[in-house]
Amino acid sequence: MHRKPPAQPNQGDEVALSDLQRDRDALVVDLPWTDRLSLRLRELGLLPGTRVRVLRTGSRLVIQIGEARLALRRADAAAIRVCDAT
Amino acid sequence: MLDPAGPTEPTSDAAVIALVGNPNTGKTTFFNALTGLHQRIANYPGVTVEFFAGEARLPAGSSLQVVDLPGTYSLSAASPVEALAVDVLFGRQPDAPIVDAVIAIADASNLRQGLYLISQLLELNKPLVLVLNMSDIAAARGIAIDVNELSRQLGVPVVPVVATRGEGLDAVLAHLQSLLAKESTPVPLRSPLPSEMSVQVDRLVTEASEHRRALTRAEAIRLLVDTEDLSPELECLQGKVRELRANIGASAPLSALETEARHLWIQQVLSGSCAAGRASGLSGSDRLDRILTHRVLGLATFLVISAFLFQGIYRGSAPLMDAIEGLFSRLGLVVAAQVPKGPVQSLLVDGVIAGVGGVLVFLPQIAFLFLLISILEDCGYMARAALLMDRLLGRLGLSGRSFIPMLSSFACAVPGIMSARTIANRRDRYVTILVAPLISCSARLPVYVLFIGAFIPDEPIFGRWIGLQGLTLLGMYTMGALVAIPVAWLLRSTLFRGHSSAFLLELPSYKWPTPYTVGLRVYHSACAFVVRAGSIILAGTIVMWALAYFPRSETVSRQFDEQRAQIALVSGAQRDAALKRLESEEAAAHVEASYLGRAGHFIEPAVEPLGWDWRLGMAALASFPAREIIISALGTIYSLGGEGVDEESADLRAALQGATRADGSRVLGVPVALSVMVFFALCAQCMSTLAVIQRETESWGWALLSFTYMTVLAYVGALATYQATTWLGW
Repeated sequence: MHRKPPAQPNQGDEVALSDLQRDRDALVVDLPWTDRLSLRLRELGLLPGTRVRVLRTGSRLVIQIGEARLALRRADAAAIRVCDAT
Repeated sequence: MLDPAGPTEPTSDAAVIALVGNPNTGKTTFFNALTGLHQRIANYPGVTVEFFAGEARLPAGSSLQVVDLPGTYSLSAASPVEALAVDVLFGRQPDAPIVDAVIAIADASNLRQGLYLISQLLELNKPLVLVLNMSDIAAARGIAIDVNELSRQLGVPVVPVVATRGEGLDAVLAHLQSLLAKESTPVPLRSPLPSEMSVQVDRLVTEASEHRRALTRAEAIRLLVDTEDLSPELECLQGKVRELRANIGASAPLSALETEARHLWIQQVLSGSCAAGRASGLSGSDRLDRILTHRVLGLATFLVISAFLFQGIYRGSAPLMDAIEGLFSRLGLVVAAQVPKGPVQSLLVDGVIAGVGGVLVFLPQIAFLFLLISILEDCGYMARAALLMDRLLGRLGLSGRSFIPMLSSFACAVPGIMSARTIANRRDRYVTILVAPLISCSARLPVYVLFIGAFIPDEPIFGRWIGLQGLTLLGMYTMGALVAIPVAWLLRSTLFRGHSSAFLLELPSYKWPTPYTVGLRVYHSACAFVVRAGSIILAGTIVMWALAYFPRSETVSRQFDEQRAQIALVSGAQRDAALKRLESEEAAAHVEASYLGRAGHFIEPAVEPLGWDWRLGMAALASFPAREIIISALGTIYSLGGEGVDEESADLRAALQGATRADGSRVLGVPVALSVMVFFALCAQCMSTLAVIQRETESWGWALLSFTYMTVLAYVGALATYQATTWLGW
């Protein structure tokens, strides 16, 4: 399976959540607001300005928001823009 | 799955309390602590999701009816199960009682997430107590919550609780009592919504009251924000809703405005009342997940856990099983000695005791299976398994969400199918429902255990721990799941084509399972199994007995009486042995001449290619209402047929091993045993499952489809197994 080499963003660069490396903190910049999944993510606290961290990378991501751990698919996470804030 | 002998409906004047909260907040543990064993299933028309109602007492003595609503993250429902919780709260669920007060439960260590739902619940205008559960864990993580300040900001009582130890329950009840005693509604609340939105919400409430519809603000917000179609009774508001939406004149969707406004409010509330814990590095739970959700190690752990699960079921319950088996064979002898010979004795000994007793023997194993699955669920592992399985299920067009209903189908397909309501996507839900009955449920376990015990040699394979018998059991269990994969794929790409669904799942922190919660679940399922054995299986057994006993052929009796008279002339030990042999020959001749025997010979050509004799064929046919009937049916047929009734071989296992055809050859061997097990693994022999499919899909068509495809699969599978294993010379 073809997989993109992991991006090495500098601080402040905007990347997709799916390209974030493991255990790095990031701030949410933008996420879609039309689909049901994004609405649920917003309800769970994933909003622009929220701090997130990726705990598991690969085809299924685990992200941490506050004390919550959420599992989601790589393709869905690709629509969420974050900037590195380590 | 609850004993029907539970407490009766509480009196109608008892106040109704709804227990609401996010999933994984220990809501059910709190509910169990509050109500103890005084619970029953809340069964509302059109609703099959399992949730419980129970009884609790206020300090002053009056009784409360507590409803444990399904967990939800928001009043904007994303799945049928969340919609149910919302409908009960809004008083829209037919026949559900009107909720008088709410206990909102939140995880003290994840208050930010819990407060989202709370902020919505506050606009319900109902008395509300906020329970902060697992406050001990929060304290241990260094999260300091100023309960008084939080209570002041929210305008409701806040009680820290440790539900696993029952701490704080009295305070919750005391607060409820004083809230219910007051006639006035709680302090009017400043809505978190932006004022331009809030104004329009109030206008909708006013408009509705002009149409004689009482609407709470919470409900009005949903009408404005969520874009779903209005229910028929609210259709008169359609025009107004559209107008008010336009009035707000927002640049972003209203749902985005709502979530942002609420989280802003949460931020303000928490900044004054909650000091965050220690700088969060990796928690113990996260470190465990590095292994348990690892691409390779995680899957390997999952397989090892499953292997030990099934081996554990087989080994762990063996001593108890032997004890129950012994009990029933002794009971049979006692009854046989007390009741005079004839139809009544035969019904009791060959029908009820040999039949139903034979099924009840499996109670320890079923309890053990539920115990292990409940432990996996309660400790938080299930969500990890769903995460791992999402990759495979995603390829089939499903999501990891479907895994949890499928895994609970290993215990029983009925709750499994009902829990498919947590799946938001309709196509996914239907496919999950249709393949769930393929998963090997606990009712198949007795069949496997009986045939494995009788025909598969007890040889160790990997050292002492995993033997050939345990491995065969694992194989039988895996087969259903393996067959479910292509079936799900086929359904998803033909009848249920469409976009693949999204996947989002919260991974709760690992915790030690609560003995009380696990124990209660095992107790409920054990009760359900006993009730099932006493009702549908007993009825099936009696029918089988009657068919195998009647008509009592006069010619057969006369023929054997003549032979007996001849033998009586011989003397000594030889005569006794001959008489005994004659007696079982007579019994066998009677069964052959019975209605069952005649029907059996009629269907024999259809089951012969599977390697079965007519007795197995009839027992399998009789098992269509409930698959465990095969055990009782075989018990009855062999017992009536004079096999396995003497003391030395009291159990069915020995009777099966010794069963012979008319020409004296053995009926059963490894190929036949495997073919029977494969048939039972794949066949839809459960009326309750078909009924629940009909209820959940609201169509007999889908129930009929699953019955047909499974029966065809079962026949083909059993045929292939028998022919292949015979050809291999097993």
